[in-house]
Amino acid sequence: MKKLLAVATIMLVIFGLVFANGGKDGKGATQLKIWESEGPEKDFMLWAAAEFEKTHPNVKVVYEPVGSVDARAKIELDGPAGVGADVFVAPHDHLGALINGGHVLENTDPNFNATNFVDAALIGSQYNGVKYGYPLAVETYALFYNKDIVKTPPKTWNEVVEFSKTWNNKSQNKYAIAWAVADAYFNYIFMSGFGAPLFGPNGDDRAQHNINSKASIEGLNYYQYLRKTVLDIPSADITGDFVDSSFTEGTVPMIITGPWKFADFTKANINFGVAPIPAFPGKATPPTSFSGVRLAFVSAYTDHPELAEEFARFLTSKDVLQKRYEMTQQIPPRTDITISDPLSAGILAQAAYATPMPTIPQMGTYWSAMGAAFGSIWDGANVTEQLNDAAAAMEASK
Amino acid sequence: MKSTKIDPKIIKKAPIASACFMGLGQIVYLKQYIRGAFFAFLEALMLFFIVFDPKNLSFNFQGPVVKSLVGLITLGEEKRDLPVKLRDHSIFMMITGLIVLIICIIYISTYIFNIRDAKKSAERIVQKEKFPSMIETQKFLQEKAFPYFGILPIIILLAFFTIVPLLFSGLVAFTNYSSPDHIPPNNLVDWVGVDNFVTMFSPTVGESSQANTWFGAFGRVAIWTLVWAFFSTITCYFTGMFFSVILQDNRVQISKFYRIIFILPYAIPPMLTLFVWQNLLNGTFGPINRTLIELGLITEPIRWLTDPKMARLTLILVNIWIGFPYSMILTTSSMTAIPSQLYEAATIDGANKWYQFRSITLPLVLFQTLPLLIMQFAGNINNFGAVFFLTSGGPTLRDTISTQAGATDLLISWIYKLTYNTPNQYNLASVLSILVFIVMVPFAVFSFTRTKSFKEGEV
Repeated sequence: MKKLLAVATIMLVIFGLVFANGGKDGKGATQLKIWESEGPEKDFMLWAAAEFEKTHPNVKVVYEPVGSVDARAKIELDGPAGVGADVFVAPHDHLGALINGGHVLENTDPNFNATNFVDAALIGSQYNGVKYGYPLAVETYALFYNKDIVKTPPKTWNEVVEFSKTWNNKSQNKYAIAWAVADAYFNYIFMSGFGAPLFGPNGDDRAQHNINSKASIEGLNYYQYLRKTVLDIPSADITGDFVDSSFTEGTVPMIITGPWKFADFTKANINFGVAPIPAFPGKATPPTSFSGVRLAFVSAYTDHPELAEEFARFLTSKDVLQKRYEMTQQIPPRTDITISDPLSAGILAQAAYATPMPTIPQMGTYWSAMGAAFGSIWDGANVTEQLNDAAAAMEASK
Repeated sequence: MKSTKIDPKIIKKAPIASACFMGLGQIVYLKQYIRGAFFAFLEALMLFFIVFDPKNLSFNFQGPVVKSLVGLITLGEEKRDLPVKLRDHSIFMMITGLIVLIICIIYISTYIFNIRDAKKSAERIVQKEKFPSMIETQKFLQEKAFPYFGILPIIILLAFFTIVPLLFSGLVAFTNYSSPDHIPPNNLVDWVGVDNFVTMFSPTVGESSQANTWFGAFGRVAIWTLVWAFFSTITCYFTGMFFSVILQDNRVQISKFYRIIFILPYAIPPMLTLFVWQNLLNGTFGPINRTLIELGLITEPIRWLTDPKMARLTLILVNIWIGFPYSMILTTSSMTAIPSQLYEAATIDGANKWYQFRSITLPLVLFQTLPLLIMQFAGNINNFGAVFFLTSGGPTLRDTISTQAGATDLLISWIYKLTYNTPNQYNLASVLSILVFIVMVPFAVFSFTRTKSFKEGEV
């Protein structure tokens, strides 16, 4: 008898777990699942969810921590299985893969136009002329300089090289400038700055990758030259940690990084400023850097497409984005929000020269192939050979 | 007592009837009504799912079973006019097809079992010259059939939770499931036969007979995996043995204290310690190089992790630090089993410590721990953590650009990169996984045949 009771109880528990329904939250409330990274972005999302629920009492917005760079891979598997988010946040360079896999719906908001949103946001959310995604923030990387050591930021790389002649001291680990030299994200300036835009002028032509074009070879040769003159350290040793800690200690007065570092450096009480990246020899303007647009997407697998779209539009309204800027310090993509913070103004100055990262699916090959190539070239490999290999890998990716 | 004449022909007729329809022979000839009904119910269920199409609610032979098996073969068709949610998802179709295939195999086995059961029951009835009563059948079932009933749930669980995933990951190697052009549901995945194997294993590619970078990377990674497995096992083992022999010596004062310290590298999770090692070994800023330069022992920093050959050596050295405590404990416990009279006799005969070690300790300990050594070798072939957390696959070489395989990548960490880094190349990762599986099977069989339950035939 006892055994029978035990078995019956276990069966009941298993039934309960198997049939527990996460979709509807009793009382007929519909549930919207949101994915966003942790940190200030999460705090903002929770605030926005609470605000939305005030005007939509029958809706429960549930937040799940999924890093914005991880959302694409996760929706690929979770979406068709029915457990994916209804609205998720991903960087715009995942747009191509998301559309190729069919995971997102269009943005049909009539207010999503050039009067309200900056160019980068519009370009970054477009694919084949159709708009997807709801922009939440734009960002790019720029030159961070220690005001105590470098009074005025250099306008050209020649000035940087000159400065390094007096400042550099290898035994004390003092270098004029540093950045993550093996990261294809920052090193794009050596391609674009010399006239080799990745995937053509609009960033969407997979045949025009320009990886081993003449301009690119010239740019990468200059990149190799910089190692000898300004920063003679093997690429594997220049970790992100080293770049940040050297800037904090004051041994490296100039670094190239992005607005995500504002909080850390302000907390460390460094007197720093933000300026556009120096121009390359013979060029008049700062090089084109990659800008990233942070987009909220409506999943194609959602059971409540209209409600999810409404929430996404709510996220891109003026007041909500203003509050997001205050909470996260990330530059909002709207033209009608003013930026008063000098650090963000510096990022905006570089953003005038920035282009959104290409969104076609072949971008994935750019990261892996050029990431390896940049590191090898910094360590002295033959520039033409490496770039030809990377170009071959790009053409072979299908 | 009523005795009916039993027709010996039922030995032939019953199996034939059961072959026509499950359970027919049992019901008509053998008077096994419950059993026959059960089998007949199973066949009816299967036929229903073959014939009935729940989508169109009609009997048109497009039932779920047929659809899934057809889907497994075709992997979906282009349906551009449908919204994304409703299109054919090739990978889901493959998995569903696999599950249904396994169900069909189980069904066919049951069918065959039903036929043989009819034959055996018929023979038994003719031999005993009477139909068995309920009680006799019950007793018979309890004795003979119990093992089958006992193992049935496990087999079903194994079939669906082990065999289906294994088959699925093997089948991906025969498709073109990869980024960026073949990610469902917007794109279809197709069967490509052995194309992926040709890509990975053919030495030349194209009409101009260029060297195949994939094959070059594969050769390099495979050789390094074997070399690494061999050296990491041997060095850890003998280092552990060295320390255990030293600690056994009576002249060491507080051996327990040393033993605790030596255990620490093994006790702390390798992921943490390897990150610390990565910082220590940083060529320009790591304390090791900076100290050596300060002390004047070297002038140029040693390129621990940035030079391919040096990185491999560093990997083996750091792995000694992590792995020797386990071998030390192993050897110590083996050594305590050696009777001390052997050593006393040897001392009386005039042998010195080294001779004693060589002739007594080494052979006995080796004999005891050899099987474990072989298993450690197999484990080190797949030692993902040791490689990935220290070097992330190591300094980049020329073919890293196109294949993502670094200088210190093992097969397993290369598979990880192909799967998780964009561009995801699941098909090639699957080819490598099949290869690793084939290599590991002999080790698994060896390990299983040495277990007590296999040797003595009981638990």
